[in-house]
Amino acid sequence: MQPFLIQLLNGVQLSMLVFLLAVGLTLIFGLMNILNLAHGAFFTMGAYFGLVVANDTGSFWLALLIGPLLPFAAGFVLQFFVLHPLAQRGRSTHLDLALLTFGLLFATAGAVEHVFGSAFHSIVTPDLLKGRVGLLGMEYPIYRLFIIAVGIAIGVALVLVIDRTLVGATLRAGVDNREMVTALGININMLFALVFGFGSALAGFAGVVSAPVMSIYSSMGIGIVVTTFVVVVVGGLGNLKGSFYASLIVGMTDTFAQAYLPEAELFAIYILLIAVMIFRPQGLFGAVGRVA
Amino acid sequence: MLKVEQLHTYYGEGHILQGVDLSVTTAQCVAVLGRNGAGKTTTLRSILGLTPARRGRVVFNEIDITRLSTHRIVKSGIAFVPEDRGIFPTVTVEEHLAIAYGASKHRPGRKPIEYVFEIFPRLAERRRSLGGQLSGGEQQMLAVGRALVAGPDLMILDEPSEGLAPVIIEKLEAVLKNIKASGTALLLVEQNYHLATQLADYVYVLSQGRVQFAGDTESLIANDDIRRTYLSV
Ligand SMILES: Nc1ncnc2c1ncn2[C@@H]1O[C@H](COP(=O)(O)OP(=O)(O)OP(=O)(O)O)[C@@H](O)[C@H]1O
Ligand SMILES: [Mg+2]
Repeated sequence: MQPFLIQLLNGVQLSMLVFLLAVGLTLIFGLMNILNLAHGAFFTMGAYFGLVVANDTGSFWLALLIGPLLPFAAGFVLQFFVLHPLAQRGRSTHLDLALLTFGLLFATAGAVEHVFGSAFHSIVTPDLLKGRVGLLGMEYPIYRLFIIAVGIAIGVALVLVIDRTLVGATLRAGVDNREMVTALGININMLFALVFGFGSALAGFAGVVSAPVMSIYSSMGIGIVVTTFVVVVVGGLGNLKGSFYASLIVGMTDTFAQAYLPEAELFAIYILLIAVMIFRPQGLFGAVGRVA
Repeated sequence: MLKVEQLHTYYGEGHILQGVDLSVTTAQCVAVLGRNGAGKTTTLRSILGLTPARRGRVVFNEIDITRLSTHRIVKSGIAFVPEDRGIFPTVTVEEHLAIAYGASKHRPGRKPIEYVFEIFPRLAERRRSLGGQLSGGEQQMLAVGRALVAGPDLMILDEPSEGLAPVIIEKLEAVLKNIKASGTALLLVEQNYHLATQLADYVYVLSQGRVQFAGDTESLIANDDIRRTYLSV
């Protein structure tokens, strides 16, 4: 078995990956009150689009940059042309949306398998981040440290944007009272679709980032969306900072269960989920419906 | 400038507005009075497209805005101070004004946020406070200040004096008089008869979704019947 410190870092690395997904999901829920199960499909889309770009250009960095564009566009279109018109016709209960996005999640997996087959793929680690570094007398892969750094950087950047910028203030206002935001002359449907696209792009970004350490395969988004949901519920729906801490909790629980209690690995995070639902349904970190 | 014709609005099957007509001309203050549940708020919401009318027409500055979405209606030069004040609890005072400022780039008459701080010095002191931390009076000042930023042709206010202390109502009255004097038309829903008659040039009295009286302020003051039946003053 690997030493404790390595497990710890692996846990943080998994947490940051899950955080990239949870952030988008929690923003979308906090702002639009949409339970978006299709979030896993955007993870898959980003990974495969990144794979295509990496194969064509040989560049991981281009894949990282371009991969998220497809899920951005898909997320924007889904919100602007499908979910919003549905909401206008009164078809936007949580159940309606869960069923629709659940369908999209599986349809995407099927479509991807049709095009790319059921093989496992991966993107090669870029030269810059290959190898290992010495860390407290051990060796740890540089690329995994890169994932940790990216997760923290994106978390910090998002908090700053939401707390300190006009766009962030507008998003907070939208969560507080969306009708009043429209009454200030702001096209909130456009804003929502952009946020939806942005959250989807982050999921796609996570798909590309994870490709050098995890495999790319057609149903990769289905398992991860469940983990992401646990994070979002534990952190408090719509709570950005909460989703950061909850990512750590869930990532650690999963990693340590795998390492020290392999019999419990399959259900450890679900026990966490159930406990939170029973004892603190609003999440461990503050009130419902908050974005920051 | 604003012309509302035969507005019919429903909440589900409830037929709330049953043919409301009203109009506002430039630099005029028009008050809409009536008891609780008369349909005053619904009238404003229909004008703004928040609860679109099922039948009838709303024309603003010669443009039919009946079917436009709310953000378009607002962009055409209307600012709104809602009944609950519409203050965002997690947004600072300064950010409230900045959002309104950013959303009115196209308005030649938009005002910098310092302009609002001159009118309401109290808001300047509280510029970094969150909306949720403000007193009722401060929230109302912010709601009016935020509406001013866009430099609207028409400001629509829903019971701005509700729940405010008398000194603050006086301040509000002075501010609204200034807004009117500077050329912005006001459409004012009020339960405060005194404030409404102080400010308004023309009055509509609503009951059960219909206009029961329309006339200039003096003729309302002179009309005991209407006042007793529909306003209990
Ligand atoms: N969202 C709603 N759903 C159903 N009925 C509503 C809704 N809002 C208002 N109503 C009904 O519509 C009628 C008119 O309400 P409205 O709010 O326009 O009255 P108002 O004149 O503004 O009253 P107040 O002085 O109390 O604010 C009332 O009978 C009210 O019960
Ligand atoms: Mg009302």
